[in-house]
Order: sequence, then structure tokens, then C-alpha cells
Amino acid sequence: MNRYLIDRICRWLIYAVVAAVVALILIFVGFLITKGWSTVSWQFLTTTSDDGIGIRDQLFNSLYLLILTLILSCPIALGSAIALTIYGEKSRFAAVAKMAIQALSSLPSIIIGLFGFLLLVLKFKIGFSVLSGAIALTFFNLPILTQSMSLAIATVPSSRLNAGISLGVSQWHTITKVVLPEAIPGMISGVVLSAGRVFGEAAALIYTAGQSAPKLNYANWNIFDGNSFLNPLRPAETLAVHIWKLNTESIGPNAELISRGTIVVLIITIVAFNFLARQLANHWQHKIYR
Amino acid sequence: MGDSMTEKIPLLTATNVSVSYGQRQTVHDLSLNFPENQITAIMGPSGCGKSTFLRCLNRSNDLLPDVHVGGEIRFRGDDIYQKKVNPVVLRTKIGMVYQQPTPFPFSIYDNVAFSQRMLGLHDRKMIREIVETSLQQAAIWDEVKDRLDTPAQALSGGQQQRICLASVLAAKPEVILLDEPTSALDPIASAKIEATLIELKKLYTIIIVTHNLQQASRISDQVAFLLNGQLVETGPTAAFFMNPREQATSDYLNGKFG
Repeated sequence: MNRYLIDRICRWLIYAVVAAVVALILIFVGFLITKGWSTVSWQFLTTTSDDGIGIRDQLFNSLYLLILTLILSCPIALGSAIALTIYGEKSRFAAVAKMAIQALSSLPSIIIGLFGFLLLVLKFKIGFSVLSGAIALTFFNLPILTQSMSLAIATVPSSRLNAGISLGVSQWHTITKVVLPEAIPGMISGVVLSAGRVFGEAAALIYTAGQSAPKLNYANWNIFDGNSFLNPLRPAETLAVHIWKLNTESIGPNAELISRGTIVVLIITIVAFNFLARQLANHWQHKIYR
Repeated sequence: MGDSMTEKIPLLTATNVSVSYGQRQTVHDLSLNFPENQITAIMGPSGCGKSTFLRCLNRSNDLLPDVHVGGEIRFRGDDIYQKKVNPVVLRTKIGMVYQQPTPFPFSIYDNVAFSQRMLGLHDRKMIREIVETSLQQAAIWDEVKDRLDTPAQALSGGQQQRICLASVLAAKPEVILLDEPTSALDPIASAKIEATLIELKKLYTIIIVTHNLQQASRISDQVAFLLNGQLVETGPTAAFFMNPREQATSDYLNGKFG
């Protein structure tokens, strides 16, 4: 066989593998969506389970937990990423920290959930709550977010730092005014992709944010009231936990129907996150290189 | 030119400077004076320690881990490695241009205005004046004055290098360090930079690392020749090229190594 032919065969083989992967995803997502599509309606999204099959509170809980988790984890991850990639690039401490982060990122989420249960719910007596869930999800999210932020910062040429200091600008100003803005597209996609992971997480939340969705009053803005939608100390069942619970414990007649519909909502939201990540990153890229 | 100028008082002096990275010593006991308003060319084969030495002069080696600088470097009589010296302030006085052009991903205007803005200047009119003067001094004003809003990274390599020079000038330094500033450029762009530097020495003290012998002979007043981290020979440019005192210098000038 001549080399030209081998080259062609290999190329087609690679195309075939890629096509198989894409087909698998399409079949998988398509199957789930066709199964549950009929359940999804405006009413499904805007009523509570007490009134019938609705998932309004679970949807809100998922978003609320996500926002709290990002508020907690972004600053810490950003700080660690700067420390690891710029200040301590070659130190022994950074090497150990990087190894620890890598190990943490593959920690099973159920372990994080049980750890959160023991530490936050029982030891610190926070109880099953949005706050416990957000802190547990922060543990879950930090390693991956730190890694993706480090990667984004590492793609900025190191000559920027030298150029900055050679103009008599401090290292910190060079980092905040030059390096970080240039790393923003990468950091945004890192944040949004990890948001998708957090949004779909169930195991870390079952024993921290709890499995019940108390009736929420969306007109009550007092975060200290038990029925306020903003109260961080109330239990909060999310979409993913809702699916898990419907399939393990529920005896209601509509359990399967609700579960399928919730799956559709969850998948569409996560796909939307991925799409958003690309759009935002591109937008920023253009903004920087006008 | 040159001979009469060496009598000026040195602005920057290096005495018995040694540099080591971890266990490896790259500069040995080097003493060299840099007279005001002159161009000093530091020459030598690759890896002779000339860039390392240059980076000590504005303490940009500070950022690297495990670097130890021994000896004494004095700027206007003060030891720059003293504890009370703030290296960030020092570097506004002693700026540096690198081998590869290093413009930021900003517009031309924002690149040149960067250092003054970071120093806390917000008066638009004053910033505009500084940007214009700096670009004129770097001899690039005429080429970019109509497109100051375009990204600096869209310019050619030679233009980018002059933007970087303008950015350094905007910080209002007294000494400009250049680390092989033309080795990534074509001959025409290099010639423009050389002409600019000769013009700039009226206002600044310039120290340039180069392994281009012709360049050193064209623009410098004083030459220092380094080999294996040691100073082999230094002197006025004309004498250095015409009558080198050391055999190693003569061999290098005749292309026997390097």
C-alpha cells in the first residue's frame, strides 16, 4: 500500500470516529428530549409541585445555588490561579498545590456531599440549607475552576509581565490591567462550563442542601424570613436532586412524567450554558482586539 | 566621535557585579561605568551573560526566583539594591526594551499612555502631550498619527518595536536599556531604530546589548566586550574596533568565534 492511500484511510477513520461521537450525543440528547418534551410547558416551569407537577421552586433553587456558589468560588479560584501561575510559578509550594488541586478535581462528589453533611450541617449546625449546599458546591467547583482559570492566565504571554515592569509599572497593576483582561475570554468560558457542572450536580447536594422544597414566597425580600425565596438557611431541592428523588422515593402517579420533563429542562439549560460560554468568550475576544 | 566624551561623569556605575542563578554563576566580577548621554554597546557571543547583566541594571531580574546579584550598582551615586529603594520607582527611571517587541493588546495610544496612567496621571491633555512627544521621539509619530486607535499589535515588527520604545520614553526615564532590540527586525527597520537611538542620546543615557558588530560600531560611543560572564575589554568605540588590546577581542572581531 502506498503512503498516500494510508494517509487517506487514516483521515477517514478519524472522521468516522468523530461522526460516531457526535451521533452518540445526538441520539442520547434527542431520546431524552423527545421522551420529556410533552411535559414541558410554561405552566410546568411556573407552578410548584404542590399545585400539581410544576418545578418552579426547584428551578429557582438551582439558579440561586449556582449564583451563590459562583460568588463564593470565583474570587478564591481567581486568587489561587494568580498565585499559582504568576507569583509562585516555579516554587515548590505551587507544585504541591497543583498536585492537590488535581487530586481534588477527581474526588467523587458524593464524598464532598457527605463531608459537607458532617462539617456544615451537623458540626456547624447550619442545617440542610442553601448555604450548606453552596459551600459544598464550592468545594466541588474550586479545583476545576482554579485549573481553568490558571490555564486562561497561562495563555497570556509572559512577556507582558516583563514589558509592564520595564515601564516602571508595578507587577500587580500589570496583572490587573494587562494580564487579567487578556485572560478574560478563557476565564469566562471556564466559569460558564463549570457552572454547567454545578447546575447538574446532585450527589453533593442531597445531604447538604437537602431534598425538600418548602413553599417559597417570591414577594418576600426579607432574607431572614423562613419562606422568603432569598433565605439562605432554608432547605433547597434542586432540579438534579428532584430527578434523583422522583426516581428513588416518589410514589406519586406523575413521578415519571415530571422526572422526564425535569431532565429536558436540565439538559437544555446546560447546553445553553455551553453555548453562552462560547458567545461570551468570542464577544470579549473582539472587545479586546477591537 | 567618542574619545572626548568618555570624560563625562558616569550616571550609572557597576562595580564587581556577580550574578548567579541557583548554583550557576553567569556574570563574574564585572565593573563598568555608563557615562551620561552616551550609547554604550555591550557585545559578546550568545550566553556570555550580557542580557543577564543588563537586567540587573533596572532590577528586572528580581522577578526570577533564585537570582543572586553581588557587587554594587549605583545610579546617581545611590546603590540600587539597597533595601529602601523601590524597584518599581527605579524602573521608571531606567526603562527597558526587549528583543521581541512586547506591545500590549491595546491601541497604540493606550500602549504609550499606559505607564503614565498607572502612575496616576488622569489629565487627558497632559497624557495626550506625553503620548505625542514620546511617539515623536521614537520617530514613529508620522507613521501612526492618523490611526492612534488601531491595535499596536497590528503594526509591523519594526513599528511595534518603536511603539515599545515610545512607551518606555513616556515613563520619562533617564536611562534606556535595550536588549538586542533589532535582532528580530529587517535591516531597514533596524536602521530606523539606530537613527532614533543616536538622536535620543542627546536626552537619555543608552545601554544596548547587541551581537551585531556593525551596529555597535555605527551607534555606540563606548563598547564593552563580554566573554563567559567576564569583561574582556572596554573602551571608546573607535579604539576598540581599530586597536583591540586583547587577543580574544581581536579573534571575536575577526569572526573566529561567536
